[in-house]
Amino acid sequence: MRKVAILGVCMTKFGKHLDRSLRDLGREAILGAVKDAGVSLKDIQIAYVGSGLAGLITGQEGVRGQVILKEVGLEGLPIINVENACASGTTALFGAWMSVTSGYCDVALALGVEKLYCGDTAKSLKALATDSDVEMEGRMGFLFPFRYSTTIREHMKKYGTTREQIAKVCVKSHKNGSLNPYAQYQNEVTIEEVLNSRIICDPVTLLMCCPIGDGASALILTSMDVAKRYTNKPIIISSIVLQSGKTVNLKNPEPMNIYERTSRKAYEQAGVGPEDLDIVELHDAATPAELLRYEDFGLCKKGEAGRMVDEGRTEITGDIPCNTSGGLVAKGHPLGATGPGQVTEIVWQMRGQAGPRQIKPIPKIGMLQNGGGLVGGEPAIMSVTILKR
Amino acid sequence: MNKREEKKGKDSQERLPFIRNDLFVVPSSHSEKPYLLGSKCTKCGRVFFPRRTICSDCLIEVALEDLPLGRRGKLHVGSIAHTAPIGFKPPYVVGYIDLPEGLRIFSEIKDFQICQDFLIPGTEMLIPGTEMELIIEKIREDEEGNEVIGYKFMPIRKPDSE
Repeated sequence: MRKVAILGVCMTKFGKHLDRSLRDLGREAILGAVKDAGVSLKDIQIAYVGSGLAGLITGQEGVRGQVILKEVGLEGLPIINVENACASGTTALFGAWMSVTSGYCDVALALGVEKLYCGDTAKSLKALATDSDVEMEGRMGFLFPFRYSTTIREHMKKYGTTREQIAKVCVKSHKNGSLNPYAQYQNEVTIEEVLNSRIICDPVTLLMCCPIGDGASALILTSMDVAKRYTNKPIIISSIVLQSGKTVNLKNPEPMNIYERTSRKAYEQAGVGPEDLDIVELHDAATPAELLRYEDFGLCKKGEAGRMVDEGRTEITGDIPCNTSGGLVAKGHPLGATGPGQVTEIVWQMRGQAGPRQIKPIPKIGMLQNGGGLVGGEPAIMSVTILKR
Repeated sequence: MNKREEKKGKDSQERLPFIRNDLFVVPSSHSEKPYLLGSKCTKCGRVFFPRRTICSDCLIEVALEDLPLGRRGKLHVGSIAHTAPIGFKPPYVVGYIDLPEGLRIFSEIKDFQICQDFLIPGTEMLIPGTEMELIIEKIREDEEGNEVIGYKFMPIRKPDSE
């Protein structure tokens, strides 16, 4: 296993891009990442292309990667199309990392690209329902906000976490988003606006839910030998963990949930602990998820997420800033592009390129979590990645 | 008509996508009540729903036997959804039901009016532990107006009352 560097990153603005194709979005991200890395398109030896639902929305269900990469002239190399719901992008990253760490090649591209807007919200929502078992949850009326509602409700009951504390996290996300020119929502909101927006599934309100979106983000991964030719401060993938969910068994329950299992394994492989992290980008498809992840990742003790929010510890100025990009709630959630977008934010922060939302001092160790789908009572797929500079 | 033409004719009539038809059983006799159908591992005893062929814990090819699941369960958590996928009319109630076999399954809960009596005061959450009973009925209409039949649970009594 060789060390792998993230040499180049790029993302498009996330948002509603009705007039832009997958090819167009992909092109901007790929060319941007290649330029950022300093390599040439000719150097790319393998490409993983992750999309969640772009096939259902655009009709390009097969060979999306080939169609997109032809736009920038990339042909002949191995192209691997990846679908893993909202974690399609970090699954592409996992593939690219495996290709380099194994010694198969020295330069790999991981592209996450998505189109969810099509002018027909019903079509977009129907596509989203396919990220569960369509013959089970999908058939019985499952919607993702429901899961966020019920899990936070248990937490509120057990630990006294309040609606105001949840809303505060949503306010933080929007505040960070307002500092991010790549975010879908760049407006600040107040606690009152969050709590008074339309109820989706109590206590989850509309402003606590991420929007659907279009966008792309590309990453160039290289071996250390190659990275050293271009930079003397490479950012390294310390660990990357990808696990699928397990069927809930109440008679012999798992000692840890999937967020705990994947993050513990990532800490172990990277040789760090939660106390070592300087920045976290986490999968807040709805705001309550962010509070729960603070505890799952060991950023605070069980039951103390609300207090952590009140103390402002996860603000940009706090001791462990979370979702400085605005998170899924404000930055947006174009499924396949989300994970590489999280990587991009952490890399920018680690290089001191995050502009008005720059964490000071510049972070050295960062973690991102990106999950997707729901099958058998747990997320269908979960990934946690730790980066170091 | 040769066999290939015959098959082609049949496929073109089947416009609905295949949906598994082994989730539940509705006995032909009216005196017997419908039930969900699971699988039990003959080696370790773990029960799965929906049916499957191999146990995740044993991962060996021993036969899993069909097991009719208990018709009653307890609500783990339930809430009212104010937004709905195609075919559902909000508000509707959804939840996770714990079955005696150790399963936790997602289900729509019948129905918004009935559930009003089972809410935690001041919230739109149902009282955890509420006893629930299985029913099989129309859950929605597909985009062509066809009825989709499925399982739901219905509250039968609050945890603290008779």
